[in-house]
Amino acid sequence: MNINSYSQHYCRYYLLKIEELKVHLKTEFGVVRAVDGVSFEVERGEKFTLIGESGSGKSVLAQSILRLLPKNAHVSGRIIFEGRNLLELGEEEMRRIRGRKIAWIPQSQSSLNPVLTVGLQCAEPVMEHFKTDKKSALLKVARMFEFFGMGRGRISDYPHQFSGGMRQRVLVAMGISADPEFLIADEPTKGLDASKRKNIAELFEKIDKTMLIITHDLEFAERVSDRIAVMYCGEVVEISPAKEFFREPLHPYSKGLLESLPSRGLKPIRGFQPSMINPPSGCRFRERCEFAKKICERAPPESIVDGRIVRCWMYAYEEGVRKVGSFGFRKPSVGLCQKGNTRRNSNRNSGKNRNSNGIQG
Amino acid sequence: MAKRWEIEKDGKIITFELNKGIKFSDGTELKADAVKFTVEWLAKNHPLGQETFESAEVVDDYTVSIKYKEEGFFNLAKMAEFHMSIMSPKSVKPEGDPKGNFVWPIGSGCFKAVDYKEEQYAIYEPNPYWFERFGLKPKFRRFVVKFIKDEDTRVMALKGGQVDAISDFIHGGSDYTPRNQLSVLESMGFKVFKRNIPLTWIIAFNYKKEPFNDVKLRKAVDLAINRDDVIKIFDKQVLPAKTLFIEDAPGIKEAKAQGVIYEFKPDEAKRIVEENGYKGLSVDMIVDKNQSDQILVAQLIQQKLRDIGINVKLEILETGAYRQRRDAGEYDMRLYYIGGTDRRFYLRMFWRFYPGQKWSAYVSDRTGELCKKILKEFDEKKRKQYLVEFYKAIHDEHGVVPLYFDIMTAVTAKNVVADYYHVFHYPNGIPFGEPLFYYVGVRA
Amino acid sequence: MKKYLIRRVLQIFPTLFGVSLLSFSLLYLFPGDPAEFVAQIRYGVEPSPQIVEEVRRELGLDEPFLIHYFHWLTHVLRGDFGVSWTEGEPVSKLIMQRLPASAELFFTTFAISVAFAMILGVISAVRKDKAIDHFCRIFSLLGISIPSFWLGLILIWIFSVQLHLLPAFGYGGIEHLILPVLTWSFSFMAIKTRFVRSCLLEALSQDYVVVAKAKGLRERVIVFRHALRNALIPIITYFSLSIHHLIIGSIMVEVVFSWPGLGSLLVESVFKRDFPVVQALVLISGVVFVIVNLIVDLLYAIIDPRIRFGD
Repeated sequence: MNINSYSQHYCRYYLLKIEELKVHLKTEFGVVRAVDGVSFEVERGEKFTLIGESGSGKSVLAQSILRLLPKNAHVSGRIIFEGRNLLELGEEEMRRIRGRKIAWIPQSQSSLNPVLTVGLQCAEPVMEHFKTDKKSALLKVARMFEFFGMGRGRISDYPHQFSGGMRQRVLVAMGISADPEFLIADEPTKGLDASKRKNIAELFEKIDKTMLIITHDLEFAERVSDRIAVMYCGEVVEISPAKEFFREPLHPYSKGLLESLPSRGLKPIRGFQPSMINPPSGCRFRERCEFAKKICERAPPESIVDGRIVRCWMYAYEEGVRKVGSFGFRKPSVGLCQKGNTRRNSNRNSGKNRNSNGIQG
Repeated sequence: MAKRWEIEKDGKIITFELNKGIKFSDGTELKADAVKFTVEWLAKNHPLGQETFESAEVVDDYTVSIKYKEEGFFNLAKMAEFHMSIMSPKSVKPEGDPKGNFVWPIGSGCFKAVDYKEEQYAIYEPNPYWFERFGLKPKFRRFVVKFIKDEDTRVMALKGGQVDAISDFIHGGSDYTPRNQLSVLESMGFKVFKRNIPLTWIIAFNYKKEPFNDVKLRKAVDLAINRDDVIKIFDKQVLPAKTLFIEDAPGIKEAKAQGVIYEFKPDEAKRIVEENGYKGLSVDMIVDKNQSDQILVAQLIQQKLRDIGINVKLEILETGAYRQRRDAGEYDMRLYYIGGTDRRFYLRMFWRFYPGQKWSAYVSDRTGELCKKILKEFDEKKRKQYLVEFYKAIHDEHGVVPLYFDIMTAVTAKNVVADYYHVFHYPNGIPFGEPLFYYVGVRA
Repeated sequence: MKKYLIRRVLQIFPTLFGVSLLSFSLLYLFPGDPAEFVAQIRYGVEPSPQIVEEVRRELGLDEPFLIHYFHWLTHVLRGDFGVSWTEGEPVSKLIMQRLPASAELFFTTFAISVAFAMILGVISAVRKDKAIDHFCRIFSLLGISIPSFWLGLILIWIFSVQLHLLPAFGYGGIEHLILPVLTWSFSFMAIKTRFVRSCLLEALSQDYVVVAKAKGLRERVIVFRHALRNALIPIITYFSLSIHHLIIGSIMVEVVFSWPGLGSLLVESVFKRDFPVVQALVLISGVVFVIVNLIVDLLYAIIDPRIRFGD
């Protein structure tokens, strides 16, 4: 099979493409390299999930896409959305993208303004981007509330009157109210109990939108994602189709994450995530890795295994495609498109019918 | 006001014969009944009246006989006090009742009260009857007194032209135009009226207690103070006190001729301190915080005494705390004042030097006796003689250490018509301590 | 909400009792013999010990503390603050005479400084670390550190002495009001500007502000609808509590400008040891403070839905 032909055929489907993204946060303790050279693509229509332990840089990555980070964050690389590099846009152009083209579903609890009604907060993107009056915007929000099973009347309530699960639904409604093309959901199940998590997962399945989901909730990720990217210490160490990932993770860290799940033996990964200010040289996971060898002191190259991307010396040797020390050379589109193909074959057969509004009818 | 008076029983009874034609500001004539009323009202309502008057009898329309509680010249001296001003019986309600409530001031002076609000303002018009009596024509139609507490604001109100004149208000306190402003104002074209008054600031000792019960130590302090340095604090607007009072005060010239002079001899002071084993002695000096200039004076004294080997611990206290310490006798030295405006000279002598007074400055057997004699004696010559002896005694015993003579000032704007003579003299030529404003006007 | 209200109202009674006890005790806490002060001021002479004793008896100062307090309190509860020791007039009359001047000065200052504090506070929070923020910081620092009396004198010097534009002292038309208000506003708003700034910055650092930004809202909407609305809760509290300055905060300004308000009345009365007036002013000040506190708590409920719908 000619890899290049695949890439030409499928790659125009990507909606968001991130290239060599670095986010360095200046703090009083030093420069935190929260995101340190990450590249991936999110295809139109897919649910792409970033997983990893807290502090692995995944939330920072999400915020850097919408350029929501504070001034002390230095962002470099490229974030291509609809053919434009978001990092080069003016503030006003960026503002028109936020909420309208790319929406953000924040972590719950403190993300809602306590002194404004939830209805107004959900209607704001509509009022702003479609220049509609408050009344008709609220009407639209009321319909969405009904659809999400919250009741129309609740639009005039305040955040503190909602339970955690309900608040999460409000946040989702707020995210999709202006009908964006791309959704970034940051830890949508954080702080919720098992049944609430299930509800949110169902809700996410209903939404037919391109999504970047940030989570450390692996069960949730397994349920909603098409593809999984694993982040460790500011780097993406594996990108795989969800099914294959959960069946057979490639990277030792991915294996560790899965084995730490209660359903898979509850075996925690030994050691702690290293400092993001002075990350270890070579493979950043090597100090915790049970397979670590001498060579891991050098940065591992990106390898493609059955269309899946992995950054580990094990695969570099196995495949024998890349030379040792060729870190930095990559051809991500190849891997992605290959894998994208896999996903399409394996995942779409669920036969779900999605309407154009992004909501399952 | 009185044409003449007769003294009976060593001054226990004094009969005054009033001038005719003196009128109150409401036009009614001031007669013997008004004097009787005032005496009786004061005897009921004012401590000074209470301790002074026994009763009063109307002899005829223009003759009144006042019976005093004590005998002596002091009674006559007290009659000059402003509280003793004769007021119309109509000033109280019910009219003419010695127990009546004071409702409106009706007097016989140059001003007629039109309106006033305590601690804010008073508005006067000229009292035509007073001006008629002295053959003067008033130069003003209205005279407005405003109360401005802050002295800097007061000066700026003058500079800014909101007031035409500012005046000191000395009651032993310090509500006066800052002394260092006087020459500045003068150079700006304002007229400064200044008069020395027989009010002297002194160091008072806790002389009944160690260590200042020793006259030698008091003498050392006396000799250690350079009065020419003290007056620098006041921009040399005040005079150094090398005698107990200013030269114009009764008996001072005579005392000075006899060598009653306060001198600056630091070497002698140092010698006394060393010879008597006082070197390194530590003493407490209390200062009232509200008299801010006195804090500077106290600091100077501290420095001068350090030069002769005595350490002064300065304690700058809030007025109430200061008085508490003073009354409890918990101090060694403090700053104080003796004398006052001319009219109050004898009254203050009574308060400061008469035996048994709460606010005394210094009393010994010798000075106490002399003070009693002074306040009894009607004969002016003899009284002066006693005064000279008194000054000598205070000097010998180093009872107090005079520092400087205070002044009374008024500053007027360029457009104000005023002259020194009229500001500090009554129309009949008698000098007056506080500035008078009967002969002022403002050029249009 | 109702329970909260009732509990809150009941709470003020012990506080008020404490306030009354404290204001009454001033008489006993002040150093110096009040009878001596009063006798001296009343009669303009240095009074003899007998007169002082007489005055002491007349003022009831020879009574034991508790009996004296009880008498005072029963009168105060009937709205009778007694008679001034030095002026012989009812204290309530003296206070009512001075209240309009104080109120005029205070409320003008309050309105102006609140307006400016809000404007400057918002600007410096939104333009944090920009030139305008530094300017506001310096401005506030000056306002906090320059003593009112000094500023007052400087303003008098400029506007009265040099320019002859405004009167240097006194109470009267609007021209009399300008300098005192300017002086007081300067210090009054300085600290408030900083407070508005820090409250707004605090609100701007909240998650919901990032969310608002992520929704593509304009900065104006984010600042005013989202951040300021939340920041207003502490700001309103702080501003409302400053109402006790009505009496005690104006002292310096009133003295410098000879403004016949309650502040200068308090100063004069303390100097004269006119305790009925001092006690009344301190008590009223305390009561106003307690009541405003209560009102502020009720205001909370209006601004903050968490309290309005809570319970």
